[in-house]
This record gives sequence, structure tokens and C-alpha cells, in this order.
Amino acid sequence: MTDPHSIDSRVDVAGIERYADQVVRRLAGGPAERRRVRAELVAHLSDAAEVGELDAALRRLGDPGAAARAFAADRAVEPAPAGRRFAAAAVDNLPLIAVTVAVFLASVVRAAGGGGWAAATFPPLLSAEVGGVCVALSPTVCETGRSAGAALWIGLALLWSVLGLAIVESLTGTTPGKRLLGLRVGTDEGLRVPLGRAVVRRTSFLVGPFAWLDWAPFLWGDRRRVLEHPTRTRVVRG
Amino acid sequence: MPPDPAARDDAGLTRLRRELARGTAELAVLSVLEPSRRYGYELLKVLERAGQGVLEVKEGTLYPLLHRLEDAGHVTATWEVEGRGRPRKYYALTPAGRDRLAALRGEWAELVRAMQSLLDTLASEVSP
Repeated sequence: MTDPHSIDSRVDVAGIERYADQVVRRLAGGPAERRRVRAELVAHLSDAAEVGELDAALRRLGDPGAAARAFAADRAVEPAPAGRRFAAAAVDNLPLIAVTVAVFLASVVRAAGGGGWAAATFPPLLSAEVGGVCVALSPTVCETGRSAGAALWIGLALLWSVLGLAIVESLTGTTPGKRLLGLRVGTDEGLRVPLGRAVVRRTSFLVGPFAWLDWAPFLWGDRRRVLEHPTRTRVVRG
Repeated sequence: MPPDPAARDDAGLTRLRRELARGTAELAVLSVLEPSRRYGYELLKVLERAGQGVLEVKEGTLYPLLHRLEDAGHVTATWEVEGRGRPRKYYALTPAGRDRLAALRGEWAELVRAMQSLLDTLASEVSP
């Protein structure tokens, strides 16, 4: 069977660059760090190829996953400060914040017109009445008077906050908010977060205001959310 | 079936050797860089040759270590393009790196001396 990561021993620059790309694609570090590792790998493997030792060098490095783990290991990383994390989360979840404010204003108008109470939670509760039965992802009652349009917008905003940001995070190692605040996210090993884990670490948005419990560890100085522990992920400066 | 004791001993020795190599890699790299600057692959080959197969330093250990030494200011790294047209990254010791090397050498000499003294003492107690 042919090893998909093996490179032809005749100095195959394209093959060496492809291998280096596969390694750095897995690193959670910023663009500068990835450029540095890529350039070093290409130079190193080219030197090995020049003296006919490319295969031996590749054997020592292992597959791109093993090489990425080795290059990411022992790298000192500083956990992101709480203030920056909150600010980044606010930027990333602007669609959800905007939809929550709009739904709240609509309930204020409705309350002013027909009496009753105006109320909203953040994150908003995702619930709908299906055939007279309340279907919700969190322990709640269906909100009366919420229009189908509002439910749709809430659903779309939650989709962005959970799945959209998870995809961006998994592909780039950061999100728009984190990039703005100089932060990155990676696994405990310093690698990019696989999509499944990136989604799981964001699922607290689906339980309405109970999502704030996810941030509770910050109260006693742990700079990781609850869901970042089982997913073995962390947000760092970078 | 229980693991073969000989195979377990071999695995244990391999692990010990790997841990010793990791623990002494910084001293080895700084020592190789002391007389002259080196590029990455050259550094690895010198370590391989001088270590006579006992000191096993692989790329996955060497480059992260060089990054840490660079970040700590113990080595400088500069890309240079010679006549070959392909760039190479050269690593060289800084004055802080020389101080670090002197400190590590002192620690190493003390450890070897203490260990040898311990082994000699025990050997004389055991022998009739």
C-alpha cells in the first residue's frame, strides 16, 4: 500500500511543500508561527533530500499529524485574559445580540399595546409550538406571542453562534472577535480544534440563559469555560 | 498472556534513553553551537554523529527546542541565501546562550560526579 504522505526521494520540492503544508495546517498557532515552521520544514527536508536522506527524515518526523504534535508540544502559551474573551464573545455573537434586542423591543411594543409583560433572555430560548406541544432545547415554556419570523431569526443567529463560529474556528484557529482581540483557540496539544469538538464547546448557547453557567469557572480564576474542559480546548493569546 | 519481561525491560530502557535524551537535548544543542553557527539539518547530523546513536534527538525535538532557545534569547536565527539559491536558517549562540551553556555544563558535571560517587560507594559496599 502506498503511504499518502511519502515523498519521492528524488528532490520533489512540491512534495516537500505539500507535506509541510499538511503539518502547519494542523497547528493552532498564528500565521507567523505557521510560516516559520513551514519554512524550517521545507529547508530541512530539502537539505535531507539533497544528501539522499529524505526518507529517513520523514520517518523520524512521522505522518503530518505526528509532526504537528511534536512541533506544537512544549510551546509556552498564555491563557487569554477574561476581559478579552468576553469582548471577543460579544463581537462574535453580535447577530444573536441584535436578534435578542429586536425580539425584546417587539415584546415591549406588544406589551404596550395589549398589556402583559415584556421580557427577554440572553441567549434567547429556542422554543416552538408544534401541534400544540412546546418543543424546547432547555427547561422552559413556549413564549406566547412570539412570531414565526422571530423564531426563525433566533434559530439562524444560534446556528451562527454554534455551527458557523465552530466551522470558522476549526478552519482558521480563530474567530472574527478573537482575531480582533488578538486571541486564538486550539486543543491542549496546540493543534487546530476538530469540527466536532469545536461544535461541542459552543453548545451552551442552546440552553438559553443557562449558558452563563458555562462561564462560571472564571469566577474562581479558572480561565476556561466549563465546556472547554471535556473538549480539551483552550483560548490563548496569539 | 503476560508481557515478556525481557521485552518490557527493553521498552523501559528505550523510554529511559528517550527521557535522558530529552533532558540533555538543550545542553547538547548549545554545545554543538558553541564553536560555530549551524543550520538545522547540519545540527541534527552533528548531534547524531557525536552522540554515537545513544543521544537520540529527532526533528520533532530539535526544532521546538530551537524555538524555545530563540524565544529565550539564547540563540539567534537568521535566514541566508548562499550560492545555492535556497535559503537556510542558521542558528548561533548569543552571549546569554553562552552563559546558559556554562550553567548547564556545571550542572551536568555535578550530576555526573555525584552519580559516579554514588555508584562507586555502592559497588565497594557490595564487593567482598
